Order: sequence, then structure tokens, then C-alpha cells
Amino acid sequence: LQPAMVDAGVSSRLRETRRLVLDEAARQRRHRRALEALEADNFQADPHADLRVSKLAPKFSDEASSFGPSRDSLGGVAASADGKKSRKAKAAGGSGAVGTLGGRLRRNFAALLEEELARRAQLPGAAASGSTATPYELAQVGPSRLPPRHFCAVCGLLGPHTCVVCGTRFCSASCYSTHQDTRCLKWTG
Amino acid sequence: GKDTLIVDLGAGYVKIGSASESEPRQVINSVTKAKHVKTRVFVGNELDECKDLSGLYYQLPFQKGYLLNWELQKQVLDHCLKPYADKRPLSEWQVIVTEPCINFSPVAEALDEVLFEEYGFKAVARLPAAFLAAQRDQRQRGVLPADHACLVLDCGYSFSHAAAYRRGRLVPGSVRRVNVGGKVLTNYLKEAISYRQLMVMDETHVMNQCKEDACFVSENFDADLAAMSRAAQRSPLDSEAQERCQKLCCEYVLPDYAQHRRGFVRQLGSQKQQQQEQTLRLGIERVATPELLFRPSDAGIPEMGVAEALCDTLSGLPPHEQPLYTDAVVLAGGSCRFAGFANRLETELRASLPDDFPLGVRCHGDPAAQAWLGGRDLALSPDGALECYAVSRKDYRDHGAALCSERFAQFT
Repeated sequence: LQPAMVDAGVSSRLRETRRLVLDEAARQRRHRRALEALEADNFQADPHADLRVSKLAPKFSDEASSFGPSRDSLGGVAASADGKKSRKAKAAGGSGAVGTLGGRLRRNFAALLEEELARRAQLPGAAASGSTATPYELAQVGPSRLPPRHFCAVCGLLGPHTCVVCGTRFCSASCYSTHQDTRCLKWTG
Repeated sequence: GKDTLIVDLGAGYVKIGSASESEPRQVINSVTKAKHVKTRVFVGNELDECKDLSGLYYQLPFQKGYLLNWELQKQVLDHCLKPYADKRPLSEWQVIVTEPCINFSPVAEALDEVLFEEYGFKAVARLPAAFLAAQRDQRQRGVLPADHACLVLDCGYSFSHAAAYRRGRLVPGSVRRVNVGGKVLTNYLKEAISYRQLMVMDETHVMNQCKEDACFVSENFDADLAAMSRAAQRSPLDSEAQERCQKLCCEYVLPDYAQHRRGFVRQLGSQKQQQQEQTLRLGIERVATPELLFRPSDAGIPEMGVAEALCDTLSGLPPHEQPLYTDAVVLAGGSCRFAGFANRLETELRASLPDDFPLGVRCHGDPAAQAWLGGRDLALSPDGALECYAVSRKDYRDHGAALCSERFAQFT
């Protein structure tokens, strides 16, 4: 958070309390994190991440292969929770080669797209045509021509008003006080 | 012929069946872990054996709509294919398998390799799901292949695609992708409920079912919003607004896994709350969730919705041919299943198209099954149409991956 001191032309009483206002960069970061959260396959971390198999347990098959990588697929919000690498996670790392057919397939989507871009750039006609956009990028739709609607973060109905501190929308004084009491700057999206 | 398997490989579900069956089996495409069951994982629909479906953790072979993890996918496919492999060895089956509208060569090559070399199928046809939906439309309406033109809207788990098909081929450059699908809708509903009522961020499975059971597409979202806003302010409501509010407000009884394995919608006041019950109060969320398909910007996603995307596809087509396409807007994919979807799409398109353009939103049954049914139609087609799309194992061995990309690339 970048605290901005809001003190110009404001009463001394208010100047005492340090008022945090999120700047545009911080708001963009929160927005991006909120969008990433919408794309996540799992919210929580792997419940079996710290399973330790007893040495005495009979090994029927290669147990490593029955558990996929213990990170959730996007390595997004949820993955930040698991700091320690369990034995299972290490074993799963080894089986990653099987999952990606001997390493020929990229393990995550970002790498796949990057590789495709690099491949296109190397094609003979690339420099000449000037456009190295992949079909994947070209298919991406642009923004809507319609103006966006805004909803109250507390009740989900129309939200015409904006919180000065964090930029969240609200509809009425009662929803705003709920927002201030419980959620302003506290909800990590 | 009848020795063909059709596998519609989706990020959310695998729709699988043989050409002799009339509808596909839907298998969740995940290797799932349950919070309280540490001894095993649940591959695909083995999840039905799990007693407590709360706090499930999904491991999906797909990422952002593309099949990247074969470790996981093999487990799910082995599970799906077992009943068919038991009937007859896989080397005696042909297979039609689906891919997204726009694919990446490493993903496509990996799929071909696994199908030919790991599973050993007799022949493989790798075709876009939207292409199969177009095939289904052409055969259902009895249109001659040479005369056929349609727009396909495929709303799946990871994203939605609009694409134009003419004479059985994709019109190059016509594909538009909106990054809203079932996954985003469920996550949006989870967040809304977690903000307002009950922490359900861990309960993807339950909230996904809640979405399927309780959500529908509003024919006029702004009117619903206005009515609910007025009701919240205790302003007087006219009869239309009252009707809208009554239609929206309901209870959703959450599953307890003792008596109910799935939640259900209950009208307000119809029954007193039982002691052990957990319920959600639903209102605007029921329509605001699927609304994201039409207005991603409602959730801050800076993209146009599916109706606008279809119009964008259309605008790239030759003007004198455009009416041919609007006459057949084919719905495919599980996220088109919401009640009121077809109606709303028609309203939005009608408002954007010239008056003299015919408009026909076509839904030939369950949207989630359309690609599979198109594959089945192709397999059973008396004119042997599948032959021109399939690559035999022998040809794959002799000519390798290059032949596949050439043969299947006719459609991308």
C-alpha cells in the first residue's frame, strides 16, 4: 500500500488520523488479483500436501504417479499457502516429466503461449509480414462497446457510489458502513 | 461405423460414448482429492463413491482451456475408456476426439501421440468441438453440405468461442474468444455468497451445483436489478417489479451428505427451516452470475460478451452472406444450458442485426452434448464422411505427426 497523506485544506482533527488512500497502481494490482482469483481452479491449498507415507506402508506401485503436482494448476492465489515441500511434492516433481510427455509439453499455459510466439517469430515470413500475432491472440475479443455496470460490493445491487479509500462500490449509507466496518482494505482479492 | 468412440475432451467434463449409444456419459475431468479421505484420490466419476463432498480439491489436466497435464489426463481417460476396452480392445476402435477451436501444435501433437501410441486406436480424427456442433446442425436440419452456413457459440468451462462455418469448414479468421466460462461463473457465485452470507470459497463442488440448480439468464437484467434495488430501499413496487422480485428470491438448501447429497432450491416461506439445515438466501445472484456471459465487464473483465462476440464474427463475413449465418446460430457447451439462455441471446442479437436479417438460434437438444452428437452423426453418416477426417494408425506410423497436422488442419 502506498499511503498518501491527505492533509491539504483539511481540519487538524482529521490530519491527526493518518488516512490511507489506495492510489491507482494499488487499485490496479487489487483488480488484477481479483481477476486471477476468478480464473483459479481451486481456492484452497492441496489438503494432502503434507501427507507423509509411513515407511512401513506396502508399496504396490509407483505412488508418486498417483498424485499430480501438488500446486494448483495456475500457481495463483492458493499456492502461496504452501511453503514447505513435502516428500510427496518432491516425488510429484519427478513425475512431472511423465505428465508433460518427456518434457515436450510445457507445464503451464504461459510457457505454452510464449513458446508459440517464439516459434512464430522464427518463421520465414514473419519479419516480412510484420505481424507475429498468433491465432490465439487474434481470436481474443476486445472490450465491450457498452459502458460497464457497477455493483455494490456488499449487497450486489446497483452501486453508484465509490469508497474514497479503496474504490469499492456501494449503494447506500448502510452498505457503506458495513464496508467500512468489515471489509475496507481487509478483503484480499 | 459403430466401432467408433467419440470423446469430447473438455476442461470441465469428458463427454464419452460409442457411436452405438444415443447420448454421451459425462465424466468430470479431474482427479479429485477429498479433505477427509487421505488414502485415495477420486478419478473422474469415482467421486460418486465419496461420502463427503465438502472441501474438494480438484486436479485438472487442463489449464486455461488447454490439455497440458497428461499424467492426470491419462488417469481420467483410462477410467472413461475401461468399459469400452473391456468390450473390445482399443486397437479395434476408431476414435473422434475434440480439441478447442484454436489449438497449439505441441498440445495437438501430444494428443495424437497418446491416442496412437499409448492407446493404440485403429484410427484417430482430432476435430474442433465447434466444428462437430456445426456438423450436427447441418445434419439435424437436413441442409446439404454445400449450402450449409452457421455460427457456432460454444460456451464451455474455460472460455466461450464464437465461430463461423461454411460448407463444413471453419471460415478463417472468424473465431472470437471470450474468457468467461463455467469456471468463472462458479467462482463469481462463490465470491458473492462468501462476501454476503457464508464462507464457501472452498466449496467449489457444492457451489457449482448451486449455480446449475438456481441460476438462470434474465430476459431483462436491468429491470431485475431495478426491481430488487427498489425492494431493498423499501420503496413501493408495481406489480411487474413485485413479480420479478418474487421470481428471484429463494432459498437454497445446502447438502448435508446425510440425507441430501445435492442442494436444492426452495421457495421462500414454503417450509420452516429444519434444525440441521444450512440455507443460502439467493436473489440477484441467480441472474447476475450467468449475466457475466453477456457482460463480462460486470465482474471487471474488460471483454465483450457472447452476443457481441457473435456480432463481431459476423462483421468479418461477406455482407451479402451474413443473413445465411444469422439464420443458424448454434448453441453448444454446458454453459449454454441455463434456462432463458437461448431467449436472451435471441433478444440481444435481434437488437443488433438489421431488421431484414433472419435470426434463428438453434438448440438441437442438450447443448453440452452437441459436439458429441455431431461426432456421432459423423461416425454413423452413410456417406462415410468420417474417412476424409480420420488418420489410420498405419498412416501415422508411416508419415508421423506431419500427416495429422495436415489432415486435421483443414478445419483451423
